[in-house]
Amino acid sequence: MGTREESNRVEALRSVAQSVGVEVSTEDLEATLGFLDRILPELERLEAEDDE
Amino acid sequence: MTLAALTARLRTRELSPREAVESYLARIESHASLNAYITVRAEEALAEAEQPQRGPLFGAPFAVKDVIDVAGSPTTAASKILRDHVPTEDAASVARLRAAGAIVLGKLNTHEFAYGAQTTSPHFGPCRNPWDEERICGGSSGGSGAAAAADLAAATLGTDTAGSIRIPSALCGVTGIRPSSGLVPTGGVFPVSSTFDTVGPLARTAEDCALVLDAIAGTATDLAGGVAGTTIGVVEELLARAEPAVAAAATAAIDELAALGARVERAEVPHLDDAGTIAQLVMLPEAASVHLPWLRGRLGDYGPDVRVRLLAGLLLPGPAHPTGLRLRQRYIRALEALFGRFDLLAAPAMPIVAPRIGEETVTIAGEEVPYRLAVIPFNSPWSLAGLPAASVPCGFVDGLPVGLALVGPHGADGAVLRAAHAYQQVTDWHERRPS
Repeated sequence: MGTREESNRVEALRSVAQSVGVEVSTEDLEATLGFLDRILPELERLEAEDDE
Repeated sequence: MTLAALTARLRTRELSPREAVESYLARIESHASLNAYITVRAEEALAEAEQPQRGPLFGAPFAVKDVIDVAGSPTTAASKILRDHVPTEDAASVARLRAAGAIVLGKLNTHEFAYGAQTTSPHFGPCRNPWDEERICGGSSGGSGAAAAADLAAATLGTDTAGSIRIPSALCGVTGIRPSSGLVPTGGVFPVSSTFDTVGPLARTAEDCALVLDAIAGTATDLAGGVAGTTIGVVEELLARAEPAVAAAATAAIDELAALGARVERAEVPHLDDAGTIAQLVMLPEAASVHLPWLRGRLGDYGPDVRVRLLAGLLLPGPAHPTGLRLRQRYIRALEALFGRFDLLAAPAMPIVAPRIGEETVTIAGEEVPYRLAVIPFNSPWSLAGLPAASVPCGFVDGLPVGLALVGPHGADGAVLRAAHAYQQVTDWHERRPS
């Protein structure tokens, strides 16, 4: 785990997972964050294009 | 032996169903190192061979991917979670195979929960490529590809959500088709994503695939007529993204189709780069939804890659799924317009030959790319629109098979198989077998 920002994002994901009853290790959350970081910018771009 | 040749011998009683089953059981045993099968139904298959249904597949021994239910045999999905799950009914596709006379030899290895493209389950072990046992057979229907290539069944069933029939077909040197979405019933199949899941054949030839598809879809495929007058759009963007030797094999195959009378033109697929992302926006949340009860209680029982993929689906923002569905509709309309100009599209089925087991990155034109990301652009564009897409053996690179993708508009499964059949009448790549 690197920066405080990354740590905050992991904790935010943990909170979302807990809200649906899923307990996830920090290691798995970091790996999931890496996975999502490939998709989320694309999602943002596609949504913006869809709005145009 | 091809399924067509085998059924001819069974029909004329040159061979009995029992002899056919015994022959395949012996091959399965002697090729156990491939780890293609999770469950072998030896006793059951021999019993079924006594009285198969009279039909076009009379007495033909099949095997099915282990996410497809066979009554009384475990459907493990190559997972720890379903290791002891035994369904009481056949999947709809299996029931149709049996009604056509087929016998079920067993259940085939898969990527855990059919949710990955390698078939390297940590719970059941990797399925090995018959052309080089140190390499993967692709996935997720890896056992189906390996069994078809090594002649461990007359034909096999796989499932394809985002490439899972076409990838192992290409890497194992067999013919496979992802049918049009909705053509084959998916009842009794453990789901990945209800929007994209399909069931289809992996076999030696396009003719064999047509026999299987007709049985499970109720179609009547006509393979006659060839490709003369057919307009084939070449997806050059995918040729450019493949390993040069793989692209060269696919180009030679397209030239062969042109020599058979097809009109070959360059095709630009709209939003090709976005298709993989759009597909994931839909697929990831749908898969997570299926697994949610186990994510709550058995998260540690998944292999690491599947666990992360499922968590990504769980943690994607809520609007991702409806956005993905909306963009998918726009993409479908764009491809429908494209198919106003072309009868079929052609491209490499995969950018590479089979990687070694354990390799998570591959090298394409000197650049290292994660395997998962390398395969998405070659498969998701066709899944996203629910199109029929086949992989047809079209050459070898370093002794490993290469596949040509042939893609048709929705419902044109017969046209895809007809073109593949025409190609296989003048080439012998599909006849080559691993030693």
